[in-house]
Amino acid sequence: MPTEPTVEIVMFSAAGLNFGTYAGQIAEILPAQRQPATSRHGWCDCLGRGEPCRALDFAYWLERHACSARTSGSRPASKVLVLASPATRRQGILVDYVEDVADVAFEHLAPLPILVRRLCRISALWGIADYADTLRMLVDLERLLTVSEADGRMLS
Amino acid sequence: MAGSAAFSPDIAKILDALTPRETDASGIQGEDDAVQLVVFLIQGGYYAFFGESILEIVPVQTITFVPGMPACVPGVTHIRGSIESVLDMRHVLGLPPAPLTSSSRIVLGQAGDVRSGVLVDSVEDVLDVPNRTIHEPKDAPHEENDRVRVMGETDYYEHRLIILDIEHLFEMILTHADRTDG
Repeated sequence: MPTEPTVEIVMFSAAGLNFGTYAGQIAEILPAQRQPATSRHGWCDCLGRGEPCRALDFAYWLERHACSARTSGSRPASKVLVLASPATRRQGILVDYVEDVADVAFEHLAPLPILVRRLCRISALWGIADYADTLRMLVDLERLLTVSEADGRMLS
Repeated sequence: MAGSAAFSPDIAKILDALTPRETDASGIQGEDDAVQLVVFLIQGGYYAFFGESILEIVPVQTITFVPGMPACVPGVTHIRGSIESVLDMRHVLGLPPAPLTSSSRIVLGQAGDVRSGVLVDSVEDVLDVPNRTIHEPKDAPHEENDRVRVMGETDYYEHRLIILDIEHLFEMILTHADRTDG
């Protein structure tokens, strides 16, 4: 019997908003060992299992770049998603909370509607997952880091 | 945004595998000598879209905020198994926001390759109107608003009914929104 295709998604929240990311991009999910100071470009230095790790404070970045204010439902940052690719080794995303890591069936994933695809200022958004009765924006974290790095260089 | 090739290779593969759900775009058809109008209310004003551009009219369910979108698009929502963007018609018309009510509706429209929900205060009617009863506007309503093109107007139970061009609306939203890579 054929099995339904699925994609493993890491569900997380930042700035009180629900997101997801393809789990294949994530090497580790670490506790944020201290509340790091965030630079004006959104980057901070963290420790991941005792090793230094640069992380993009996603809630801060959202507030600064996407006109998305931190909502009252948001929590202090608690986790670092460390990326898996060699290009982004020891880089991560600081998020408020990791809710779940789950296999999501293709039928619960959708590309962005055309207005969102054409208008959204966050080019790293690539789709939407319908998970546990909640729609979650799917983020390409590698692209987010790449764009954010370039943005930081431009502003420096 | 560029195509799926702009994303990481694994994500590009996932996107390629997600086949967009096609919806019958034939819309609501009117009789030959008549046009069908979907009549809706915005702050007490009567407006309409041509029925041929309207796919569905649904009650408002949860609208999920999408960060980085212009204010006229409050988010996305489920409409019969598809995820659709929602355009706030109050914002388009330059009117203040209002809380959603049990009368609020999302009108799902399609023009060309653009499909989106349009949030309205209520949908009053879907009716066939003889072409001859549609005339040029008596004045120039919303003349200052380049997102709105008035196709004509007609009488609706002693109210003035302004017919709007949904294709122009979508085009102007896409043209004028300030998308900068974040």
